Amino acid sequence: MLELVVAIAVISISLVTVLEAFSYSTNTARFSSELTAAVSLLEDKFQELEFKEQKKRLIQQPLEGSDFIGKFQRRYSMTKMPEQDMYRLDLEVSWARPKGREKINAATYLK
Amino acid sequence: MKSGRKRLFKAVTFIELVIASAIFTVIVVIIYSSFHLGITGYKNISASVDLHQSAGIFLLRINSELRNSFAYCLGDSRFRGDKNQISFFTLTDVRISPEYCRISYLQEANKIKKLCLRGKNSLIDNVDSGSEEFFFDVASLNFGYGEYDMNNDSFSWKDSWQDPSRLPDAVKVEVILKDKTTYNFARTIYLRNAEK
Repeated sequence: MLELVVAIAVISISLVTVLEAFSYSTNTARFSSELTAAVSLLEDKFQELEFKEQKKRLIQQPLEGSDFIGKFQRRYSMTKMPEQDMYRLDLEVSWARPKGREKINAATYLK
Repeated sequence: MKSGRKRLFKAVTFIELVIASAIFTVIVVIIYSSFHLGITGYKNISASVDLHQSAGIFLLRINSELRNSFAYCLGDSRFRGDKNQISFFTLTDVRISPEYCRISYLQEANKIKKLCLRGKNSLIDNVDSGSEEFFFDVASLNFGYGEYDMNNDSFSWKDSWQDPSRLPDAVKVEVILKDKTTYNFARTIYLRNAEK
């Protein structure tokens, strides 16, 4: 009986470990694809504001904004820097993950 | 008649043998299932990662090509755009040895085909050019063309670009790939030389 219990315990532990490893690798792959999508969204917004900078329409933009694309939330905020005659642009893309929200940030300067 | 000698080895009973065999079978089945699950998972994940990487490379390339695109001459941009294909002049290898070329992307069956005509060949239609193929499970390749309205600060989007005098201000690229699941990759690319 004791051997049986020990054998079942060993099997259970190994099985749980293997399944955890499998689940971890699946999660990592999913996270990697989400990160790629988030970076693309970040670049898109950056290009949009850069385009408006080129068209001299940056001043028309609200200083803060947010939109949803699928499960991703994209936020931007612009801070006027009067001394340098520039804007500091902060971008953030966040999305829900099983263990809370994940986000990436980027910042740049526009004239 | 009983022997007075003590038994040194205990025999294995049939029931013990059956239980041991059963445990062994269960262990083997579980190990095999886990291994099989792991291999299947690995194959699925690596296929998905490959697909994402290829899509990322494709979108990066078309992004850099469209951002370097330019109008061929005043009044004739030679930018052609339909819902499923696009053709434009651009600069390639900008950092090493810049060269102008005409690039086309189109969907052929379940593939995305890229044609690149370099130098003088870019001005000739129906000339053989090197082609590059992306993906083999393309469900659809869609383009949208945006025109920026300065007054309203908004874009109006069209399925095709017919204006020969100028480039669109932005191009939406959407690739839908179908493997076991459907993957949707999209980017909006803003053209830097739209007015030039």
